[in-house]
Amino acid sequence: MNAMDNMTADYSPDYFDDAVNSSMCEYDEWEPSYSLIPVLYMLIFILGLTGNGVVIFTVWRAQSKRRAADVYIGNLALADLTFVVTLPLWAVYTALGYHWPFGVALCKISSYVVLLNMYASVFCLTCLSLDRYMAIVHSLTSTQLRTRGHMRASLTAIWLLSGVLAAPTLLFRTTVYDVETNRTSCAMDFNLVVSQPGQETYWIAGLSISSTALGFLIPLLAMMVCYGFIGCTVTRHFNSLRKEDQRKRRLLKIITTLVVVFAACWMPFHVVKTMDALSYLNLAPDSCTFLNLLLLAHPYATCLAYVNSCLNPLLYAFFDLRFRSQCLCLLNLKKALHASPASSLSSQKTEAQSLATKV
Amino acid sequence: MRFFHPLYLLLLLLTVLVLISADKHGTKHDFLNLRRKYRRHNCPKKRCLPLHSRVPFP
Repeated sequence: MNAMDNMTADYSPDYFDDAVNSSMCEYDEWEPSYSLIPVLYMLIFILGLTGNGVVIFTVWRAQSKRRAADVYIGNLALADLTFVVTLPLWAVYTALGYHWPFGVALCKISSYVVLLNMYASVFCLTCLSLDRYMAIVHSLTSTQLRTRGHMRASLTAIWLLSGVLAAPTLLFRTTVYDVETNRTSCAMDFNLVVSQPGQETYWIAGLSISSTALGFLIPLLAMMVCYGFIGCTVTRHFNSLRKEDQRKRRLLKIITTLVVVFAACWMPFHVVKTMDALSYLNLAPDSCTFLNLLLLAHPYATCLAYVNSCLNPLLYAFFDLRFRSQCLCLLNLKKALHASPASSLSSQKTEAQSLATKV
Repeated sequence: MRFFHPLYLLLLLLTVLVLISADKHGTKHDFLNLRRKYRRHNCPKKRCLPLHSRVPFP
């Protein structure tokens, strides 16, 4: 590493050159971030791997009792699982001072996988909201639309669209060696499409803003509209809810919580990213102080976004009694298969079935 | 719970005294020396540390 990069000293924030359009900047990064961020990444990796794995296993095993929402939840868990699988790479990358030792191929693939699953995750949530909207607001007329075939088609469309939207990162993401710092970073390289120096700015800003619009804003608006109509319908028929409707309402609370948590986790990240993109276009401040602030906030906003991937299974497991029951049944049955006495096996099966019936 | 009330008041009093002492000496309080734990990057151009080079997002 460059000796200058390792230097840590007492610098006053006022030291920064705040002149607009200055050609030079000096950035200060909080030194503990280089060890704290990787620890957070690995913690998210462990929790996300465990939680999403359990959800996927439960949804897969409960084939006969699978609801439409469970299929979307399962796909959401699959997206979150593959999302967190790449985190160890990015943890090492951060711990090494943003030096990428894994080569070009892994740089491209891991970046693509992350972006693919970011889109898939948010699109699954959106379709989940649409499904609930149709089931509750248009329960009589939506029967023909909410078929298994249409659900499969929508899931196929989700993954295909996510793959297409993530393709630019597969094209532009590569390793870039910096002679001054003697480090190789995994970054976006626009030399393939840029013929003039100023064009790179528009590519960076364009990709950033479009990913925020398609991966956060538009889906969030769609979800808010769906839940607005659902809220009106549920409020109108509050006193006449039947037992089945109460179950729908319970599931509605779970999905609403998922959406709120999604918005809370991803909003800081997209705000920081959008402010950075706007500063490229001179629509936001581009002073050194402002850019340094974005640089300091960005890794922690990213961590919060990643946290969403391991919160979803926890929320689902805690709030959905049916899912929890199914999970416990599977675990009990699995334990029962290893039990020696036949009577013990029979009694545990009976107990598991009784538990499922109660829920 | 009543036993802890004097303790809370004592902690509050200590906090106020620390703040007054800090202002009295005219020095900015550097909590845990956080300002010293910074890594300096000198950039020949303004955006030598693009955000997309830190995380897998564009």
